[in-house]
Amino acid sequence: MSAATLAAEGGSSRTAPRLNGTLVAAIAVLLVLLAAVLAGPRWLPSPTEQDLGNILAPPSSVSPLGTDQLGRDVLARVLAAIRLDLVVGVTALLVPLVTGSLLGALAAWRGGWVDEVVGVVADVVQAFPYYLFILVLAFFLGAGLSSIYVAVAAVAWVSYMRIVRAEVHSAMQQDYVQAAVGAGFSGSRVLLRHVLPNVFKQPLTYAVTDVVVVIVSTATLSYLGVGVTPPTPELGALVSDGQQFVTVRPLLTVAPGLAVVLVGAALALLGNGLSRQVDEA
Amino acid sequence: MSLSVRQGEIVGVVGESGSGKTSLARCVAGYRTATSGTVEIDGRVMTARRGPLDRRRVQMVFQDPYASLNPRMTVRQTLREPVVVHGLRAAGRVGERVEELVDLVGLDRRYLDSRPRQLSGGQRQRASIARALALEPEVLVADEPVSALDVSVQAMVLNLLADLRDRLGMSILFISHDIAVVSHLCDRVVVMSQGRVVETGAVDDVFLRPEHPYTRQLLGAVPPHPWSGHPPASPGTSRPDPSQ
Repeated sequence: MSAATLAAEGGSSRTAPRLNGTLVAAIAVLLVLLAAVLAGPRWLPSPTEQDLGNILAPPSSVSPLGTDQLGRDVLARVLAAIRLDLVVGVTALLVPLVTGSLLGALAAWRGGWVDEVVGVVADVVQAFPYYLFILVLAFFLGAGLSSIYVAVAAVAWVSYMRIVRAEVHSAMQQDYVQAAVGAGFSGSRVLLRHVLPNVFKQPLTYAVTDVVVVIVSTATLSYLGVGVTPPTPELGALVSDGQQFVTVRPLLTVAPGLAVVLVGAALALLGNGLSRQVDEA
Repeated sequence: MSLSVRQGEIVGVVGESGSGKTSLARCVAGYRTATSGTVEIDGRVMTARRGPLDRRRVQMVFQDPYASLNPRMTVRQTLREPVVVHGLRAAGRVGERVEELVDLVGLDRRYLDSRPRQLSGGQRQRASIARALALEPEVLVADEPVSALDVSVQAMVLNLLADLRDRLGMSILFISHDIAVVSHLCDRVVVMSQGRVVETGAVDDVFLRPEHPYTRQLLGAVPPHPWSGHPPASPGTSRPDPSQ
């Protein structure tokens, strides 16, 4: 690590970003996962194709992780589930990332009653137990992906609001923002050109780690039976389904469980690596 | 308290920390409203809620050159923005003006596309002065503009300010706790203590024949300065600074 850093410093370029080890490791793991998720379907049977003559088969050259109680290929299902969870984790966060950041910027910028109202609403949302909130929502919206999206959008914005609000507050004290105000620039120009470009990194790096939270809650909800509906493969649902057969075919539960851990760890590393990279920049 | 700055004059404000120097600077530059009293330019009252045109007339140079430039903007972008926003040059002539500005403050043109973190403290302070000059202000408020810089670089920035006053006829309100720097640069000086002006007058009068006991006390507390009373003939005589 230090040898690599020294070698990179010896180079002439001052602007080329030097990636830290955590970030490199995270990117490597995610690339391998992505390659497996994208390439898997070419060689493996469809994750929903049943073969009732070949149920609960042990690992073989055809099915590397064996088959489940309906003869479906376990590896194909785990890969499809990783893909689904990653897509849900990322897309579900887009709305709260944007709304939370805008509300935070607005609260810090305008202050006064706007700040008060946003703060109180955030406190109310945060005071509610997260899973209870999602379960109640799922009860009203029905099980399925849409309730996960709505629930995440309704809850996750609070973190982004708080992060951006604090960042904008401290950015407004910076001399370069004061200089922009002193130059007679309009409020929107100061906010858009001088404040926000210097605060967007923090919510983005946080979002990367937040994807893990969404994936785990998607898995939890599906495990509880209110998330993704069968037969769509989802990691939490796979763990839950496999439990019945844990004594015969432990891989049915262990494989998707390990996948959750792997995806979560890779994303957490990515978040750590990114924030360290941002701090150094 | 009352103090006036004539055109083309550099007025120093000295006093210990907490004496109200920075508050004074911020009132004049329009960042806060004075608890009592007014700031006037050519008889026109300027509050903190002033419009863009009034803001343009007073520009500020900040103490910490590491915090006063937007880290995401290159020197060129930083200097273009005020010129464009205030429409000070025709669209096709903005680039020319930006080069003029860096020449004026003695910053090499090859730094135009650098971001602040690629510049030394002295270079940043030059860029920051150029940004203030971009608006062609009548008054420049410099709040301890050299106290965060190396001694050799300090002299260069001070000479730059004196030079700008001579060439542009600008008035400069120079806030400093450094008596030696003020006596080197300023025409007149205002001594502040606990939010009040205790003494004011020409630099030589005040520093050589102080009348107020506080001024005497302040002068007595001055440590020997590396080039006190002797403006360096060339920066090379001071401690060499590798970053310049």
